[in-house]
Amino acid sequence: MTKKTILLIEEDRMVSSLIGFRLKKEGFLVQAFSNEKQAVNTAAENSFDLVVYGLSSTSFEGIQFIEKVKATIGMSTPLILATSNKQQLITLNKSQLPNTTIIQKPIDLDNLLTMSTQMIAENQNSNQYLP
Amino acid sequence: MRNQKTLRHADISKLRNECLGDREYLNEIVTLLNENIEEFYENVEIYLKAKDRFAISRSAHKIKNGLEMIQAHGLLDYLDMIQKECQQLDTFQNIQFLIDSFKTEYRMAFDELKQQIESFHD
Repeated sequence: MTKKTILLIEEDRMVSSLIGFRLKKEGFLVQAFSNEKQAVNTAAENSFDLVVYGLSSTSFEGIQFIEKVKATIGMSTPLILATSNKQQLITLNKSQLPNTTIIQKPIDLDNLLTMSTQMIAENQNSNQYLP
Repeated sequence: MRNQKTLRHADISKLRNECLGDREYLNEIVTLLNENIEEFYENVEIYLKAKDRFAISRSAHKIKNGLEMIQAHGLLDYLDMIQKECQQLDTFQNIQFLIDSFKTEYRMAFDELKQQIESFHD
C-alpha cells in the first residue's frame, strides 16, 4: 500500500517539526513548507492526499488566498486549516470551503492525526464512486 | 493571570508526550524552541528601535504556541502583558521592562527544562 502524502504549511519551525514528526510516525509522507507561496507552487506541480495549513496570525492574506490555495490543490483534496486568531476563525467558518475542516491553535496533535486519517479515507471513498 | 498548575517555570512532560518519548527528538525540538525565542529577542530589539508596537505584539503572539507546549505559564503571562502594553500609546519603556523581565524568566525556565531533560535521560 502506498503511503499517503501530506502537504504541511506552517511558519513556526517548532510547531511544523512536531506536526511532521507525528504524521510521519503515523505512516504519512510529509512535505513541509514555512513559506505559503512556495507551498502553493509545489502543490501546483504535485498531488497530495491532504493539506494541513497553519495560518499565519501575522500575515493573513484573506479568504481569497485560501480559495486560491484550494483551487491549486484541487477542490476535492481535503484541507485542514488551523488558526489562533478569532477573527480569522469567524471569517473561515463563514466561508464554507468544500472538504475543509477548521481547527484552533494550539493544535491537539492526537486530534489532528485522527482527523487526517479520517479525511483522507473519506475522500478516497467518495472518489471511488466518481464516474 | 493564567492558572498556575505548578510552581515550575516550565514543564517538559507535555512536550515529552508529544515527542512520544523520543529523547533525541525532544532535544531537537527544545533547540528549535530556543531558536524561536532568540529570534523573538532579535526582532523585538529592531521593532523597539523602530517604535513599531504592532510588530512587537505580533512577534509576541508567534512564540506563544511553543511556550504552551512547555507549560511556561509565567512566560505566557509576560507575553499577554506585552501585547496589552502594545495596545497603548507611548508605552515603550514599559514594554522594554517587560521584555527584560521575560528574558530573566526565560533563562530560569530554560535551565529548568534542561534539568528536566537530563533527569529524563538518566
